[in-house]
Amino acid sequence: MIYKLQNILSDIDRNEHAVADRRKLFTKIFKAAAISLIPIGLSKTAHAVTDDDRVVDATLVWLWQAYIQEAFYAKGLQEQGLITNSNDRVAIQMIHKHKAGHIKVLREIVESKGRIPDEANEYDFTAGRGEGNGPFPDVMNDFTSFLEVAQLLEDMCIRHFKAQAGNYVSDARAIELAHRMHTTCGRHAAKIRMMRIARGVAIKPWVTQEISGIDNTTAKDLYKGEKNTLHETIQGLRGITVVDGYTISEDATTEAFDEPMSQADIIPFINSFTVR
Amino acid sequence: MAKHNKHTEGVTRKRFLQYAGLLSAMAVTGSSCRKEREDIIEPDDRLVLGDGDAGRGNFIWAIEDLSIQFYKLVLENPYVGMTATERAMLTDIYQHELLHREYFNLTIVEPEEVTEQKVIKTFFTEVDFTDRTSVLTTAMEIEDLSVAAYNGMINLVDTVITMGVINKLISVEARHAAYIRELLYPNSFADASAVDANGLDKSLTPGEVSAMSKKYAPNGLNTEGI
Repeated sequence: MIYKLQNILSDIDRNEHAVADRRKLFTKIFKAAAISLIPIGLSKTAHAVTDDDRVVDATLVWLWQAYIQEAFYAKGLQEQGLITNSNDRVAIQMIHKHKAGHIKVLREIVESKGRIPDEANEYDFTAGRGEGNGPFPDVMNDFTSFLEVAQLLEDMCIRHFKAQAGNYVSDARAIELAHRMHTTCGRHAAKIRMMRIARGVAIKPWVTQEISGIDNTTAKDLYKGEKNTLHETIQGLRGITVVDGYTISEDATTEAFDEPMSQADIIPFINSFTVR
Repeated sequence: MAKHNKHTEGVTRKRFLQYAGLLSAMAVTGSSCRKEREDIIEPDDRLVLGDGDAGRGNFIWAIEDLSIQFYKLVLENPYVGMTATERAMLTDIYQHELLHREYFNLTIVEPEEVTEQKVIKTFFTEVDFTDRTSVLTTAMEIEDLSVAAYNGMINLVDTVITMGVINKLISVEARHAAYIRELLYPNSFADASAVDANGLDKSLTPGEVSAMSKKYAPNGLNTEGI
């Protein structure tokens, strides 16, 4: 194993100073990564951004998303004739229940920092910024369209948290809760995708390239960057395509990791579902 | 290979010293045993993961490797009735796990600590590889265990890069778990056996993960340094 690894690292491992060099490199990347993880600044505080501010800022954006999702699934379940198949209803009910739980947990994290969580808004599930004429006009009439929006919301939540995880490092309890909610969203996303696959959509439970199976620019924008195959390591960005002599398919290299999306890129999606 | 000799030798020397330490410890035990038989210390066959970053890296590596060894057997010995789609999806999962494992080698601070030592010895003797339910039940247990292992160790990770890689793959493990569960039982993707009433997925400490993985890796993992 070590031999194989060192092949990958061959440029750096040539001399006995290798370990020291690698440590230097690591420190550099650590600092760069830490800086890039600082959010764009939701905090309206005059003082310097604290660890608690970082937790709260990341949690509030997640809370906005959880409100959208909870309201989305609740409305879908209320619409007569939208979710007619009993298995589908059970699945959506299960997901809805978890979103309500996430709201509770997210609010509690904000309150634990002495801050007051935002309340839910009114939402436009057509993604029309309150005009009701967004790219998903039939979202509450047509289950196919409903599942498209569900997939976007689940995958959006996953991408957002990935960019925010570093903001939770100061709080051991919050970071664990955040990860446990996050993997639940991964399960939801896979299930929604499987429900779409069963209806003939050519996607997988995981994200291949930037394929969403949804034909509009909203979806196209949300999956931008998902086909990334280079990941941060202590040697800098690295792409791995062959393991143990086995060549990984290009699609699989894009699927193996879900990619972060910054708060700045996520907020327009949240806004598109929110009535102002 | 030649240009890496320095490192390889260094590691070998370190391992030798550990081994020598173990031998001398055994010698001490041996001599005391002559007096009191009840003092015999059972040899510890657990996979030694090491301390700190290296230990955590080895732990993750071992968990991914457990999956890899399993899916390799599944793909080499397809169960009766494996559909083309199932084969394609299981192949995807196998490839994802290979990538996950390899990236961990590149996130831990001391890659030279990563040696053949942490190859986990698996025994899938309880699995009937011809039987779909037997195979998928095992796959479900391994995927759920991976998710819970990452959730339970995220607090222990103190480097941004390792956390970044865990963070980017943990939701993919959750996608795998949901997919496998749905193959077995409709609407089990996030049922109460996996996710609690608040929508929280499971979280297990490395020690708990070691205990649960004993079904497939009976030697266990020495997680005490993590």
